[in-house]
Amino acid sequence: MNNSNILADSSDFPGLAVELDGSRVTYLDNAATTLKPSQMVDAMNEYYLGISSNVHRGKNYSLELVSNRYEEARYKVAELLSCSGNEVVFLRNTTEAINLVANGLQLSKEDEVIVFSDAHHSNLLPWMENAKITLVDVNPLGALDLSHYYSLLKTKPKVVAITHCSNVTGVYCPLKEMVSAAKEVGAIVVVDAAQSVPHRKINLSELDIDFLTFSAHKMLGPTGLGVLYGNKVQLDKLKPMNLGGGMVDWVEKDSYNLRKIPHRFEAGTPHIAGAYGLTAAIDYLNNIGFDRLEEHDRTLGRYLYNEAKKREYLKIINQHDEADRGAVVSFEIPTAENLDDVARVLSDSYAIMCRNGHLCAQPYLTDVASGQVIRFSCYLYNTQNDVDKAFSALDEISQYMFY
Amino acid sequence: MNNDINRFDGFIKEVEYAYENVPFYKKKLDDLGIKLDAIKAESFSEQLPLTEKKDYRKNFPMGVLAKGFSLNHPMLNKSQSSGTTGERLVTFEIGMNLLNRAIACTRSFPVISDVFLEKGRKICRYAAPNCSDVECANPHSTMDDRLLTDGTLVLPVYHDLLTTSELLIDRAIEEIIAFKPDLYYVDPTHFAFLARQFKKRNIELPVAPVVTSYSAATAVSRRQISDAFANGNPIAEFLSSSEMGWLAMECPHGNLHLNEESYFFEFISLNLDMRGESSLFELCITSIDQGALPHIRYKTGDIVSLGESQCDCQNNNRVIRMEGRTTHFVNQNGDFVLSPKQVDDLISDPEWLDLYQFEQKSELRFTLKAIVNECYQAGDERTVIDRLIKNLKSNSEIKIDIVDYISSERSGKFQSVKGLGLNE
Repeated sequence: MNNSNILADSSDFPGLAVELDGSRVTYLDNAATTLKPSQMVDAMNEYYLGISSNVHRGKNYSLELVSNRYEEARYKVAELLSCSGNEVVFLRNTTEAINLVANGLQLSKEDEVIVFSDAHHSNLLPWMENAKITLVDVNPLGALDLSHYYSLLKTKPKVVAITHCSNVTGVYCPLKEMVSAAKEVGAIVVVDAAQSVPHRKINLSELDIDFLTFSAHKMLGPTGLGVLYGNKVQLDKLKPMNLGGGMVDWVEKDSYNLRKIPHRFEAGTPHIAGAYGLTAAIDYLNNIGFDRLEEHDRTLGRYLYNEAKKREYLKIINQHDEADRGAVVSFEIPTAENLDDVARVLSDSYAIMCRNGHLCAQPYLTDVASGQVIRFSCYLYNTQNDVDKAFSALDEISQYMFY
Repeated sequence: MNNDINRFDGFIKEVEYAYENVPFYKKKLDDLGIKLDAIKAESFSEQLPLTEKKDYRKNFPMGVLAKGFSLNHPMLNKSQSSGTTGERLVTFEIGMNLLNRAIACTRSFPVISDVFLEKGRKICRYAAPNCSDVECANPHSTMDDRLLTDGTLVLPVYHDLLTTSELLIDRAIEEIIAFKPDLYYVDPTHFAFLARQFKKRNIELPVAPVVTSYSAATAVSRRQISDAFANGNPIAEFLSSSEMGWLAMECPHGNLHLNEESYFFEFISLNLDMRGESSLFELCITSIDQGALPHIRYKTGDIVSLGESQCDCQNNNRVIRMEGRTTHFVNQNGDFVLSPKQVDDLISDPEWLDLYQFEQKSELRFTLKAIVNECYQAGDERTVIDRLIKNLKSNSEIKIDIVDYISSERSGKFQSVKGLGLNE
């Protein structure tokens, strides 16, 4: 993949034109959040610069128009996931969505939840707080031990909390098989798809998933808007976490009737402009096509991994060569004491924006690394040239910082 | 010829009534310097202005209500259109005028007219909830809450039709069986959905004539409604508007006859290249019964074509074909290509298809979402796609998606064809 295979027009992304001390920025922190296209910002401005009414409250004209656009976003997500509109709940982000499910299922400490060792904290801590968790092991290469997962299912867990794609390694798990096995033992299946929905088409009509969640900001959309899909049967059983305006049909002095799903989970004024933005973001991705997005993700993922493997001074996290890998790679630099400094130099001297730290997956990195890691993660506007530039910069500074 | 003269006399009488009783018309005609006695049958369309929805919205209530009426007047009925596209409107009219318009309209289909006029007849309505906010389809409502004074039971349904819960579907079915309707007054997409639910539960839909309105009846909806009953159960599509009432009704021969006893109709040409087919017109209506809120030369936004002048039924009123609204027409590179009705003709009513939505994504890209049934076999859609492609511009692409769900509009209506629309 070279620059001739760019999926997006770089002029759509003002962030790509930003310079740092005269150097054009290379943005490689997409697993944290992506850059935003003008079309998405324009859609949000349409709300903020128009009659920025509330939604679903009263009968004024602008409120009707705004409510239509807000609900259009819900239908757009339903179309993206192949589910029904009433199975789509808008929340703040993936973290809030998993917290809602973990709390709303009303688990006890007797209920077992299987969690992946490489899970993001957001798919670990809510379960740790509300139930008894069992972690799926990792093997010596740093990959999930799938045989351990299947053996754990024999304990008939109440919930299986799957991480579809690791935010540390970019490795996808075999979702269909894992979901199917979990359903065979009667578990409720919850999928953190924050790292996968932006890159790959997920068809929920072909998967027996109870809950799935992702965030708009990792797929060209705005921050502050997350999506929870809930199978309508399970969603109907879930206890709302927030109570207040907009989520009830009727209120007496001592009782209330909940509204139907999904509205009962959206108490208070929602992120209306965010819904406009998410619609525009999904339109942008659909115009490119998810087949091309997935191909780009796989190709660039393979390239990232191979380039990292060429460097002896790096230790890649999850060195399973045959892994189903997206465009993310994380690595340690065993001879570098302080990766904060490395990330700072990459940023300030080379204008390369990447991530360092424990990547909100501290238990996993404690198992497979000796501390912090550096992560390069790409999205649709990145090319092999960006990857080359990043590794070339690392090679240069290695002379001075790693030996 | 006598009919034409009578129609024009009724029209002029309404214009005079409006000028003398309605502030909006008096000001409008005075501003234009129009003298009523100078209006002639051969030139009125050049003299009198057309009106549109925004005129009635902007001037409501004081500008458009006739002298002697207030919104609390005991003879008035209120109606409101959904405003899906921001074009919402609240209208009041004398209840008796609306009833007379409906009675006149049903004469196109005598069996339905008989039922409609029967004393104590019971009607079941199954259509989008009658307001555009999400609380309207409240699952806690009871049958009594939804029984209207004219004997119509409004059945419960969600705004987003296909998300209607099993609980609400069961309730609608139970209520129909308990209520024993004499007439179904339904949105065809909604009623086809309900017919599928009856079939799924192995329950027979109680027999009664069906009139469909609110949105165009696609061939697949019509097939499913028809299949739900024994042969010969009357089914008629009719055209109505929230602001005017019953405008046209299908006769037993399948022709949609205008209700010319209740309105004065005009056809405003759209001047589109129709490739040799009959021209398209916007339907324009004038009320002629001196009501509370007269409409003069009102552009409905409904696009029609004119049918054969002679029908085998006894109704001599003109025949129209509803083509859809210009906002949903398929438009490629600025050229009109297909109306929603023409798209539906091409899709037709294959046995394997339950519901579809044909959407134009860009000049050349289209998607056809299809909800299919047990008769479907892989590749069945090919003939439909081929028919559509032949009628679109070269290099057009249609992506077929076999799905379980297609969303309704937020108003609750279901739009089967969503073109880019005409640039007016």
